[in-house]
Amino acid sequence: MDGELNLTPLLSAIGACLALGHCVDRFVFGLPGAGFVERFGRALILGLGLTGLLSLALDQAHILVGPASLGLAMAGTALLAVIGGRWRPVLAPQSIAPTRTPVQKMATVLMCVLAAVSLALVVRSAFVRPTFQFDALTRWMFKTRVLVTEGTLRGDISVDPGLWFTHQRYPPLAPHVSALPSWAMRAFDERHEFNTEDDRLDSAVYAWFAVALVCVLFGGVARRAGMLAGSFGAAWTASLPLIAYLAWPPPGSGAFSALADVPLAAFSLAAAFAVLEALEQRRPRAWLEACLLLGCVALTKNEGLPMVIACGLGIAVAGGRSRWRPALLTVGGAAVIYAALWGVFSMSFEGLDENYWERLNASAVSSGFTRIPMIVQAFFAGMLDFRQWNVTWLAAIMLVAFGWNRRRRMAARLMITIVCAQLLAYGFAYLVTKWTSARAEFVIREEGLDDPLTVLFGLTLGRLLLHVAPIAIALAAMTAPFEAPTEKGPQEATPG
Amino acid sequence: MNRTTLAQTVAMLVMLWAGFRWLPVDTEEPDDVLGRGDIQRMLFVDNELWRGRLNPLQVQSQARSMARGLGPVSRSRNIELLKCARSVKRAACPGDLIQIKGMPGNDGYILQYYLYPLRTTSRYSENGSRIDDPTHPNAMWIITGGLQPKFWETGRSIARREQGDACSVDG
Repeated sequence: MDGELNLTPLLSAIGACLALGHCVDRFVFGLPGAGFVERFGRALILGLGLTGLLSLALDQAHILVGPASLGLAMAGTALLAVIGGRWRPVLAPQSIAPTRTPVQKMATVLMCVLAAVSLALVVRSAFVRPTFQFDALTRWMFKTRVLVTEGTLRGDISVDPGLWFTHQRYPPLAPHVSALPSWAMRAFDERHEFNTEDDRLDSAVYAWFAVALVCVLFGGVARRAGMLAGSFGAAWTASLPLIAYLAWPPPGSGAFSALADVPLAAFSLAAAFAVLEALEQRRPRAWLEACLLLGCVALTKNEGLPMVIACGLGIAVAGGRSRWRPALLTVGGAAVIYAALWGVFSMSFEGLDENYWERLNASAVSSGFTRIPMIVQAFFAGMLDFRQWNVTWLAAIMLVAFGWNRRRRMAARLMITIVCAQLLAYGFAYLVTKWTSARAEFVIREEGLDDPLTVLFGLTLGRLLLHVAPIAIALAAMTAPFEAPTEKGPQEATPG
Repeated sequence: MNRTTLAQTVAMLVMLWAGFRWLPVDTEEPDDVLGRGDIQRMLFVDNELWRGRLNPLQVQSQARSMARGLGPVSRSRNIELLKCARSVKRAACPGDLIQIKGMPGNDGYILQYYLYPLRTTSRYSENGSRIDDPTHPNAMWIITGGLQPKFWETGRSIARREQGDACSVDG
């Protein structure tokens, strides 16, 4: 392996995702008033998500996934979006409040530069590093490799005794998306085979989820609270150690480490903004967009399933009684997408991951009560860990507290509910888990600990917090009172 | 102090901290000051890789630098396993079944990734496989690690044995 990497297939793959996402965004969903950065981010996240969904749908329909079949599916979807866009209602644009003083303008530019440099480093790191994390190699990239070689993750290949999928039930949207550069490469060269000694071509796709995440956050915040707040949120998120440069704690979660945590965070944030748009009644098709993105959330990681329920709760809390029906429809739609594309099929596999549904009983919960102090302490310690989070969680809580007022009440209710519900779900999982491992047993013996949970915190808590951190940052940037409110400031629609 | 000033102060702290990781480190060892990570070391390694001067799978000292920059992630283990997989793949025929013995479960999984599309068999579990596991009747190759009774005491070399005529390769 040398340091040179042919970027053409990777950039072609990203370009194809952008084109598909742009068609769907412009002609189906439409977001009047969105600037270039937000439209880029939305096109990217929608394109990556739709590509994964189409690839999964092809596989579900027993059509071999490959450059021809997937290319046709993407082109067909884009065409349908363009045709369907003729009936899209015309909406009034929502203007972005401009920065007012030279100091604000300079701060905005500086923070945008910081965000761009940070993201550029992430993308570049993904180009030059082979996959190195255990989970990335064995859970996500291994499935990508099998998919690229066999064209499917179903049928005989899924029960081949010579292949050991570490967690076969894990939803495979991310491996389907990351196979795209290989498909592009094969479109140029039919003999191309996946090279595990140089798997950078496919693993580099994961970094683009971080790009989409930051662009969506920037646009969503800027339209509501101005460019200054948008650029602040973007620079903050793009500089998060666990996204930008820190692949610790093991198994790590840097955006360049080919793990599905950053994709999950990106889909979750985009879904939260779509739900907010729907609640604010800015766009009639925002519910559909939220449903689609929540489907992607559920298909990215197991942790996406509670995220879907958390979003449903958020809709109910932020929208009041009148929103129970759209909440149920949105969550139900996402559940149908999940079940149709993976959930039902995955039931046929032996469950190696922990079955939390089985643990939903009184005895399991009551036996876990003694763990509550340990869990609460671990969450606080994790959030205050400067190495992983800088001052993120403390600052987010303070900024939301300073800025709490009626103007952002709906956004605050929605996003706080999502973050709290998701963290409660993780807390509950820690409460009832029976997890242990040979390594945990060894550590417990050597260090005189009394619960394998202490080892599990170190392995997982940073990544779990990452799933909701961008939503918390978006809310903090939106609500923070950086400027005194004015008559012409961005308005928030009242719930209808 | 009003709420706007307080919010601006907090925002400045966030941005200062975000910029803190870019400050240069002037020590031999990567300095993890206040938990900022080691961005300078990473930039150096990235730069060398980008220009094709380093091979991260062969130059272990640089791999160690990268591992430090990335936190406690042992790339040297991956390199060892990749070398082993390469040596088997060079000699194996398509369709050969490879058995993995005496190796931690995680190493077995990584080895399987590097060996694919060759099929492997092993006792995949958290506890790993044992050296004295029964040999699979269809196994054409047996990769043997040095897993000791204590969980992660693994031998530094990985032996490779062809069925019948045995040979070994240092890891």
